[in-house]
Amino acid sequence: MIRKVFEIMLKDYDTVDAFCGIRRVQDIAEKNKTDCFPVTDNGKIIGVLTRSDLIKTHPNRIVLDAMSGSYKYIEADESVWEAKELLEGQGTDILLATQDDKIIGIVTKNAINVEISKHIDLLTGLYKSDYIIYNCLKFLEHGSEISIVFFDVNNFGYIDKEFGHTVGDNILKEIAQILKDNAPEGTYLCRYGGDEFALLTEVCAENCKALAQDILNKVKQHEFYGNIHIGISAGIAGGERRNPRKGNMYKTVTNLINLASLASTKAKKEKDNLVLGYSGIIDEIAI
Amino acid sequence: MSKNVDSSKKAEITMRMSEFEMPPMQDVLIVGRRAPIGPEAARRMVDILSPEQYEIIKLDHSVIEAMVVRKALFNILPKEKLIELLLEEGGKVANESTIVKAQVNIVLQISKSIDL
Repeated sequence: MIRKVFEIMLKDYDTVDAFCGIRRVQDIAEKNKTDCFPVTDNGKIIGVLTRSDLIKTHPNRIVLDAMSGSYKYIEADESVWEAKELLEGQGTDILLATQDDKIIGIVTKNAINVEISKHIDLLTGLYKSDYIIYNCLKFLEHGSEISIVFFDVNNFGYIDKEFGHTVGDNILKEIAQILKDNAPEGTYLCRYGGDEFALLTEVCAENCKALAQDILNKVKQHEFYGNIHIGISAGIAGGERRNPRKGNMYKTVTNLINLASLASTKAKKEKDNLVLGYSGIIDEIAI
Repeated sequence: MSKNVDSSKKAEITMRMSEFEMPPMQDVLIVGRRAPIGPEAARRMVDILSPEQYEIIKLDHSVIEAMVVRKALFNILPKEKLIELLLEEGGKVANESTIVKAQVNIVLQISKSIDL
């Protein structure tokens, strides 16, 4: 399941008063290793004091004359990916997590970076599966049609056994690079599992065939580590929602990915290594 | 051989007294980006002593962060003109760690002719 803001937010956080002296806040920051402070005036949050403010401001100043950071609100039940996107927005230093219009915690850039780093595959530098699932849900929320192209390396177990795992790792890195280089703008890529990669697009499944075929060809033409011949297979599944206001689509999305994965397994037996597994309405995909 | 050393300590006290300026700034404060007092603190300080009489003008300037200006000056001269003038002259003396106090005297010369 995708992690939520309330799971990573800081519940016990320091705030500083707008009229507090910077020297005192510097001492607090040093002691508590805090990098960002919500600033309050009469109990209300009015701004954010960042570590950069603490470094560049004269210690005699009051917080009100030093704070340059800004904040945004986020529902505590939102996903960490939503929080990441908000924090990547221009000039947002901190998120105030709310529940029933009450601030119940804060999310700093550090906290998000720590969390998101858990979702990055160290070998290939690609995101892991959560990233694709989140973006699928986001596309569906916006009423877009989505398609998953699932790539699977042919006979990867044999390559690992025959040439060793380090060679296998190098090959996976090269495949990841080919996918990165050839994934069109507006698509999302992840390493789904061992030798499996998934690409999310906002176009219908039939229109993904050409894109998938192009990537298969690029892999075929690539000269891999140790001149080992590598082939990959691709399965496609996609569709659109019929009921835009339907509840939790998480299970539906994972089912769609599963259909694409099954299609990629089937594609291994096909001559062109490509199978369109599912295309249609995805409100209730049952497998 | 023993030595007797007489020692004594004295303190010399000098005093300087003058009337406290009210408020302690005159017409304009030019606040540097790294000055020990920020514009908000300066305005609030002066607001306690002379409520509602001063305004902060935040500036997009490499050295000067803001000016705290006596509002009455804007009745005589348009805000933009006065700020431009203060920036032009103040920018030459202020640096980012200073607070410069400026006294601004404006004399209007008016000449009118009327039909008799």
